Amino acid sequence: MIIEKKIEGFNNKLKFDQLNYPQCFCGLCPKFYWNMLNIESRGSGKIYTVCQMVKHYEKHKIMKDGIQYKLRTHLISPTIQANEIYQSLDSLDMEKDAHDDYNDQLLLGIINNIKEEKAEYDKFLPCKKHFEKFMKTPESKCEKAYNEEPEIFHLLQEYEYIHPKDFKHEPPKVNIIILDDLLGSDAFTKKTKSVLTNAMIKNRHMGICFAVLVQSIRAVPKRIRLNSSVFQLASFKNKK
Amino acid sequence: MSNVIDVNQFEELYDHATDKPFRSLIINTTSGKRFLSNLNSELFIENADNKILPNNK
Repeated sequence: MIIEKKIEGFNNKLKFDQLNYPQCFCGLCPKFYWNMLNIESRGSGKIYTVCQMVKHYEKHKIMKDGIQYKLRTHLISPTIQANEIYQSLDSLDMEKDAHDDYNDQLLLGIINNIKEEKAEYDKFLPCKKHFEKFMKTPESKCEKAYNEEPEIFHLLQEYEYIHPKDFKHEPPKVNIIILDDLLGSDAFTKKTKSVLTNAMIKNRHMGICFAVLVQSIRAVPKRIRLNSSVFQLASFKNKK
Repeated sequence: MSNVIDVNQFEELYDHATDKPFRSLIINTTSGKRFLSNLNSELFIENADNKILPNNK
């Protein structure tokens, strides 16, 4: 028999703000930001399932703090031409965001583009607060205010003192990167500084969901498997 | 998964979800642990007392 005794002094309740990501409010689909591993043999429908999932997000509103977020899908697949199903995705620009050859530079380029979009919006967010403060400051006190917080004036000047309401600024998009059939490419290198592995570990901070479609789970590095939160397993005769 | 179901239960779910062509088992761990057969049906495990296991609370 085990006896359990409470110890005093370890009952502090921790108060903190929980991370708040944009979400689809159907309550049934995987919550952002996920990494998904789709492991199926050829022709068993993994692309169909991924497209169905992306379609779900396209049809439902993705919201955070009353603001609607748009979806942007990127595709890297050497077999794009053979999979016309991708053309059914409205959030995938086949000319701009579909690539047929994986390399680390390509992925870094996509990630940097996403980061820049997010940084631009994060910079714009305090504009409204700063603008209101600026409007309330009498002209005689402007110089003093500038000396105290010059960064506010620099930011407003960057936006040409336009009222934030009149400034069209979309929130950054929720990004889904589909990596299809990349076995044998540089994507699944076992090097410790793998671009893909590091991106999948930090996906939530960058606002990216990765969908990795492969035919064998053993071909996927362990660190990617450990950082995945949604799995699709099709029928395999060999359960090992 | 091993914190919510054992190997036999996993196999039971897997076999059920993949018994027809173009079907697959989807495991969603982004909000608890949910098991789906494709995206359009959710799987639950009932034990002998007709209680649903904690993974599908």
